[in-house]
Amino acid sequence: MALGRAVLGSLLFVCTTVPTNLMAQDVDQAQLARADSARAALVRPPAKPPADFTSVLEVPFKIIGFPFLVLGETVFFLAGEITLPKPPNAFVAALRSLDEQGLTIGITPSIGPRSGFGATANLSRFHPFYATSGLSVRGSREHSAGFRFGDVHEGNQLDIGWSFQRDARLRFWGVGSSTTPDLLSQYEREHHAAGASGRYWLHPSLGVQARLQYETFKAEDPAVGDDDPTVGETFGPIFGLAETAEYLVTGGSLFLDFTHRVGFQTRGVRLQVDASTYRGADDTDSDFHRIGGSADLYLPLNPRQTLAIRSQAAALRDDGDPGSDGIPFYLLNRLGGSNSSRGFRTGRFTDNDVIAFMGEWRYEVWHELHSRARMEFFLFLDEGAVANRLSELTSDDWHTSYGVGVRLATVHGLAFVTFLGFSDEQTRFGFKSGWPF
Amino acid sequence: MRGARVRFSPLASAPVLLLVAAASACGGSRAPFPLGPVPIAYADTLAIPEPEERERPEVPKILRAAFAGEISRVISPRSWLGTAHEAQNVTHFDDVVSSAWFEHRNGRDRMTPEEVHRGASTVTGPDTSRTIEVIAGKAQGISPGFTVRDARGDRYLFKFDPQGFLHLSSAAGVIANRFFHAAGYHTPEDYIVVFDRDRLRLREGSTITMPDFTKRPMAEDDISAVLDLVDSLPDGRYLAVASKFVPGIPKGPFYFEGVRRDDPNDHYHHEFRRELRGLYVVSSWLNHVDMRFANTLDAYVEPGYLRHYLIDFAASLGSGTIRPHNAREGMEYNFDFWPWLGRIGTLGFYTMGWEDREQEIIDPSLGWLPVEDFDPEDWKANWPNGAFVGATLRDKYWGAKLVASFTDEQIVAAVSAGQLPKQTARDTLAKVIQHRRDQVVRQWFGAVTPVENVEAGEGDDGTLEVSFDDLAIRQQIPDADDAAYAWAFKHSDLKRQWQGSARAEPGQVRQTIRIPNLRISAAGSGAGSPRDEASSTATLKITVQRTTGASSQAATVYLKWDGSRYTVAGLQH
Repeated sequence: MALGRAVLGSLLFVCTTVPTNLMAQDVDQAQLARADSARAALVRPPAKPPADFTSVLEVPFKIIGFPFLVLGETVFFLAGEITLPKPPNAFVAALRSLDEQGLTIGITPSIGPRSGFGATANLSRFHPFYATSGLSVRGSREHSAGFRFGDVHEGNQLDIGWSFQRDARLRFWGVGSSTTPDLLSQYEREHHAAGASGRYWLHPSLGVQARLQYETFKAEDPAVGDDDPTVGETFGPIFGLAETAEYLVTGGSLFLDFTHRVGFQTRGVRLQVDASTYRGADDTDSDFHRIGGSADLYLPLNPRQTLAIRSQAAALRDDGDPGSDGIPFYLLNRLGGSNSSRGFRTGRFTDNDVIAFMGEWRYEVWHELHSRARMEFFLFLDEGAVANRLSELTSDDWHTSYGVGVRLATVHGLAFVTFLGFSDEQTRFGFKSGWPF
Repeated sequence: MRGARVRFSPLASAPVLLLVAAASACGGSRAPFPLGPVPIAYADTLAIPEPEERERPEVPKILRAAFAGEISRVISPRSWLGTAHEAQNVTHFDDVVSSAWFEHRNGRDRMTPEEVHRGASTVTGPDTSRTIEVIAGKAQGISPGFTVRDARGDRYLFKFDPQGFLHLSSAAGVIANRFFHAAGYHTPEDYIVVFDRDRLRLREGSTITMPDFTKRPMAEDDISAVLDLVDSLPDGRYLAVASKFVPGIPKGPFYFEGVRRDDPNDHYHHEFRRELRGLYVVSSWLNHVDMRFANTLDAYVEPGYLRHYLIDFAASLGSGTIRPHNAREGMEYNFDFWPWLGRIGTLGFYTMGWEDREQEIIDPSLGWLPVEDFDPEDWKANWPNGAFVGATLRDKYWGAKLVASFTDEQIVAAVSAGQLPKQTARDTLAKVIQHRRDQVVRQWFGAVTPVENVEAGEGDDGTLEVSFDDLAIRQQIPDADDAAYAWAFKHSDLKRQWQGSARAEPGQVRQTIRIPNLRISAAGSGAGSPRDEASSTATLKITVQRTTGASSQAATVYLKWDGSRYTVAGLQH
């Protein structure tokens, strides 16, 4: 038998190493048939090991794992289809062609509070003129047009134009830190703004911003909404509901940015102070001021771990006129949501003054070999409070939320953040394409 | 009973079904070693119908290996019980036969340094003395390049070094190509080529594949655009690695698991192929972290079968293709589930050793190739695959024999093929590769009992003597000959069973074990002829105990008794 194997092996070796120009040009059917016969006659070890006792032990694991296997295969398949290198189909090619013409159409996770996913169109062909438009699945809309001057990458910019925002499913729980979840009510709001705003960096670390705008607001109970009651049903007539408020707004901001990036990691301190004045116009009998500020601190332990802290506060003061209507409820300061307290819904607590602290422990879990992307996990703890006056805060006014999250950053910026937040009211899942700090 | 109805209850029948399955499984379907069949040389070179060229999405395969594969490997009774399957395509002497996957070269008949230097080359490289015709361009992927045809009519793929790292990936690719070829794997002909820009001429009708994977007609400007991205030599010429198109018709990659269904010759599941499992060790030696299906190629060759190639070695040695190797490469998978879990659970305080290492590039043409931190046992490619993950000690020992076959002179010859400009760089790289070779050999020769070329004979006193080469001593591993061989002889049918120990002869590669109780002459044995083939087989287990290392896995020598003497019939490590 060993001799036979040696002869067969030698014949096969000779047949396969003879230079190609001495061999037949094509494999004919007779040759294939002979090869099939030879293969069928081969006596050799099995293609894979036979089942053994361990194979029997594996059966229950395979049964339990089968649904996860199906789920995983589905995810892998979809990932493959999305990332498969192939020329763009007609739809994508059309979008790219439009983009080259200066009209960019895209999908965005949100175009405003509680808007849901939306589609946007952005016309930039006739620079400095721009026009944008967006529509979300929940009926929120945004439109804007104007002239934009300056270098966006350097951060110096002057914007003269008009904008319109309609938020279809906003929520309100009343004023104060003790409002209960069952007071949840909804409203919709339209906001027009026309004017100018500009930002200028006096120094790489020092920037200023100013704005002068005429703004109108109109909030009302939604004609068609969720099953939640409306603001009017819950709170009756309050200033700002079912009426138009018009303001001449002037404001300014000061930025101090002493942060720098090392790889994907931000380090340093960033400060911002804002001040705005709202002067009621036309029939709006409401004048008030807003002042606020934030401080972000990034403390790296090493290139992989960072402690990031944000503290922010804001206060509203009206002009003290007893005949004034006050401040519209939708312009009050708010606590809750991704920008202040992640375990609570956006705008959960409302009042004149707000203070919030957000802390994150971020640590790298993975980075792409060519340093094009990095994934971080983070634990967070948020503390915040609202009050008529910060000086009147008590310990009962504070609200705590905490949770975990994942950040994926690329060389172009933050790709997405997803988090799971917990509070004494709820568990909240968030997915965002941007992050406040 | 006629007309009786049998009611089948799956739940009640499950235990019975399991017992039946267990019984049938335990019964096995394979003859005991070494009586079972063995692979046949070149059996997979029989004619087959021409297969379709296949392309598969890369992302699902690597995600599956990275996540599902890793989880199932850890949550696996087979892993817990240590009953990993051994390779299927091995001979009675724990080796493979030559095939469409592998040819015995340096591991069996030592090549000359010149042969190692030449590799698979049939020519001296592209003819750059005349016009080089550019027939296609590639602007997508991480390294751009051209497909060209030289004046001889040969087609090559030209790929360039990353900016700032001239010679890095070109030298690494060619050098690794020489080693893999000499080890026995099928590789293309890779050359270092230097050419003048003026030699390049665009062929009419050429196309270029853009970053968005669209194709359009190629223009002269496209050639210039690619060359603008690469560094030129001081004299203004350009350097590239020219990879000659393999003979035959490309039919896509091969995978490290399963079989190719349109190849009737593809018998053994790839994760159970010794050549692919042993490739783990060769890859670890050369730090080829990108060993995955995307860097393999099946080609339909005359007279009509698929030959399996390894291609594209630019991510070897210190090169990460477009930059030096990252410190993580070789230490962790790109998506390594368990280190992730460790970092997540410990809030980032769990670190692997490489994370705190300062990565110093001493020479941009050499990149980053660890020496002291290289651990052959823990080395990982960027992506796991079924063959590497399933490799056992026997497979790794087999791979280590390939690595051990390379002498210092052969290593120097292979390094010279990379045409690194500085002698110091060549010397440094050769020394590093030699050192890594020694680390690989120490690791895997120390994990098993590395006995080879076993012979059975009769001593002067008529007793059985078994002699063998101890490869650890042959490789001059320090203090390897400060060892003892514990042996256990067993011939059940003849009720012969003895144990003993023998000290190694210092400085001797050839060692001998004597079985003093066993007189093998027909007159003295009283054994007579065996009843059948199974009863004629005896085993001699040898376990080397060295003062320098941990205990080794035993080697088993199978001896066949013909009534008057024993002959060696097989060897398992």
